[in-house]
Amino acid sequence: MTETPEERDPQLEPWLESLRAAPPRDPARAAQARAAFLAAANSAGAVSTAPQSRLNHWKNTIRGFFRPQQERKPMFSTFGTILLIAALLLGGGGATAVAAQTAEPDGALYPVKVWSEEVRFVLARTDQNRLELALQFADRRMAEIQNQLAAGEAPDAALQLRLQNQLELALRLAAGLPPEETPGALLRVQAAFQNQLRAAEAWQIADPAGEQLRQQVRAMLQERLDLCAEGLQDPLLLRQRMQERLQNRINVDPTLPADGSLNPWTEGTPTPGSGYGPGPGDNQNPWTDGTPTPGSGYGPGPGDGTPICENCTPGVGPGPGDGDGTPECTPGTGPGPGDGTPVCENCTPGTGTGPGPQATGTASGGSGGSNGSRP
Amino acid sequence: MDESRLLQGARAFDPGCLAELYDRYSPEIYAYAWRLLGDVHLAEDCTAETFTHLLSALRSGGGPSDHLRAYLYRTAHNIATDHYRRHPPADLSEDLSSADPPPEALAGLAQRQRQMRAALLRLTPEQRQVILLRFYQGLDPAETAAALGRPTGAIKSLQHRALAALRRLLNQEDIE
Repeated sequence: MTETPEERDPQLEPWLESLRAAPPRDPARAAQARAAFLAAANSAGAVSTAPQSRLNHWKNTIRGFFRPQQERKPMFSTFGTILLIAALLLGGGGATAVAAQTAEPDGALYPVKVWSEEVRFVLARTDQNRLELALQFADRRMAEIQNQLAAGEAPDAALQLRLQNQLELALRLAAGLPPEETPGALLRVQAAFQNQLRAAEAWQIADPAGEQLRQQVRAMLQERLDLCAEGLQDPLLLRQRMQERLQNRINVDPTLPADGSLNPWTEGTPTPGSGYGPGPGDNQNPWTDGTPTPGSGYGPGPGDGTPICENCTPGVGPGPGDGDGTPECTPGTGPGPGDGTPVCENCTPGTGTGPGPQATGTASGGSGGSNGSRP
Repeated sequence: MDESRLLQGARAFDPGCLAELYDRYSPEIYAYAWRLLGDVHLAEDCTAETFTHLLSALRSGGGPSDHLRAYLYRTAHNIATDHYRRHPPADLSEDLSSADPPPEALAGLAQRQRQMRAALLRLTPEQRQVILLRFYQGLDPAETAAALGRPTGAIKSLQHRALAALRRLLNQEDIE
């Protein structure tokens, strides 16, 4: 301990003393961790994957925006698609899209509204524009939640999840801007989140469920405001943290209900397009057929429907493996897409802790995906 | 080897430098993580994640340009904070308000550790960091400032406020 005589306090000293002696490390585990670090260092030094990482980052960003989350009313998506096609065939696409902009989540035109937002996002020419759109769409979600609460309707979990995704996306975009633009963008995001926080405080709420929703929205905004503050101090660190959150799928707020109702990895029977799994494992695999690199995420499933790791949960996330490549229910097994059935009760989606220095990624990353149904 | 040369070697992924870097800093990062998290397994995980994070940053061309040690502490602190976000600790007030330590020395120490950790967790993140870094990890004000991303001049007043807050929290129950 470094004594600072000017602050020495006989009253505090016994308390400070209590934490002075840290318990010794387990030598075996320490040696294993050291070996894992050096192996990862060797691997990282041998191949620079920065360009590939950037490509994956953008692929995931775009996919994440389009990836269907849990649909409270999946029929609405189908209905919306049919409606859209019909509208386009009848030559009224533009008018329909315009009319849809005021649609509420339970309205028939709401899927058109969401679709038009996605199109605008993709067509935006710069990341700054995309950032503005993400913030604008988050504002829309806030207004929709407010309208639902004012109408005395039950909180819509899918809407809440969509809000969370857009807040996360805005922060990720701000963190990913060129260094000279990041501070300004973070200030912009911070101001927007603070406005949204104030808006949530002003919601007129009459029932406990609404109050619970307010707490959840407040928590998700506050978490990202904290990240903003950290990013303003160290933009590079925030960028890394946002990349890790993306890789580890840390975009589900831990304060949200743990009953699975907001689980983006559906626990029900996957509908076409709703699952993350690579499907049967043959050449329909849309992700990759190559050997995944450590931390790269999606490995192809075994293809025969047999999970290799029976204790693994989809989405456990990459992390420091135990060095022997054995798939276990620990970080390092990679985000295994699959049927969403939680097998290991101790694991939660997205709790992986970073690139797994020892994970081979040859099978374990996708071992749970045998039942996924990705079109 | 001084820290700047170590960092330079790490940036080049020199195996010797990386091994020395790990051997030099992982024990203290582990101790720091244990003080924050109170569990040896979590502390090991946090340590591993901290160094994995460093590798990841270096690999993407980022990472610290100086103050490597401070960078590691900052990363470890963020990881621990993320852990508490995902797994909020049980009611801290129970730890703080629990009865006086039992007479048995070991039980008393464990109790005191829990209370001390509960008090630390009630400080602001910066106050918590300044207490741990200055009083346990032996960082000087400049390194502490680098870890916190604050000017060196602000550290003394931050430390003063942190100690006052800690004293107040612990005084509520036990220090009279």
